[in-house]
Amino acid sequence: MATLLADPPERTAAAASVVRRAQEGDTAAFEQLYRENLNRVYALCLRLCGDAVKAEEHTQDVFVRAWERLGSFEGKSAFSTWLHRIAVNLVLGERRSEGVRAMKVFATDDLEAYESPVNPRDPGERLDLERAIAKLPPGARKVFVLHDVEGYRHEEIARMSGSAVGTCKAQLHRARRLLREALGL
Amino acid sequence: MTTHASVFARLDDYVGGELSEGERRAVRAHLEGCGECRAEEAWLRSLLDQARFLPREVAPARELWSGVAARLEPRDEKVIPLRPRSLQLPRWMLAAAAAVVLVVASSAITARVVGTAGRGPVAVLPSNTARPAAVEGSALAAFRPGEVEYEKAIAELTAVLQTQRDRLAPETVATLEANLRIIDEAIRQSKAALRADPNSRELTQMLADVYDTKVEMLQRAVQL
Repeated sequence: MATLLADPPERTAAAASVVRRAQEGDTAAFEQLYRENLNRVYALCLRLCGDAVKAEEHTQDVFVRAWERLGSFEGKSAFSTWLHRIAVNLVLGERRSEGVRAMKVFATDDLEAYESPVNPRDPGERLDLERAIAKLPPGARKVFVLHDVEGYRHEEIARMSGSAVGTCKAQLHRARRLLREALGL
Repeated sequence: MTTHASVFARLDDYVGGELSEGERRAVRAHLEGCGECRAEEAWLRSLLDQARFLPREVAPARELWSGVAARLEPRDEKVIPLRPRSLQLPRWMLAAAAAVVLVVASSAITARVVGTAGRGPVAVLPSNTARPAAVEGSALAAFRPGEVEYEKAIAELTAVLQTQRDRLAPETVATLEANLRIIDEAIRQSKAALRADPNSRELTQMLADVYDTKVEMLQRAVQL
């Protein structure tokens, strides 16, 4: 996957200290980790599931799961990277069972869900893309978000989702075709 | 031999940098003389550019911390060291308790599968559980796409569990394996019953129940 924003050394040391305190049971420290990572986790959940309400639930679940598993975090990667992986696994796991049960997509038309404090691109163009991504079929959306937005490779996506590399490639191709149609390009 | 169709089909991989150097050269050579492929490549690169610049952070519309904080249990009960010798017995006991539940549940399911052969009233599902719709004339066929998803989930969870196997106490592993065998037998019997009565919605739902049990059990095992 793409490298997440690298922290400068002093921030890394400070972050390690906060993680250590959280591992010792300090909920205030964990809340600090939550504040620092909330928007990143929410953006990922929102794009993967395409629904603002579900994304909020997933985001909460991610942090609860992170708290439960904090004891196994060894600091071999950045905390944000570890958290990112938890979020991906959680949403992929939830979407699998939901796909089995409901076989439907709840795509959001609520573009306010995608409002961001940082927006380096044309807002209209970006929101068109966000909306089109949200309306993709679940499998295609998952692969597009992980591959083209988050920078995961097909092999990683296949491993995490329990599917074949060829299936991931087919889903990505499908997602791009559908986005082209949706965006009128 | 490089053809227009073969290049067009590989443009996804080309713009994603996933071709070998030889393949890239072949695609580049084709692009020089093919306007359609160049237009496709330009569009793909434009899409990737837009996707790459989507904001990494989006703020949720409402406050979420209180919902998280309410679910945080004291750390001393939740930390699971990599080799928690002191926790082996409680975890084994938990697994054993789960085994008892699963044996009972699986036996009941098996009895229903074998005993009713799908002719009884349709089972009432929990209100929060929507199964794939059973199509009149072929509940078995209607269930197949869902079954594929179950199998994918099980394959992934099993792979994850394999990587964590050495973290589990031997008693826990043995219990898990015993339960998986029971569940697999229930799946086998459910499928056999469905093949004999492919229109039975009840059997389809029972099969989904058993798959749910297996997925949930694997999920719990991964979290041990």
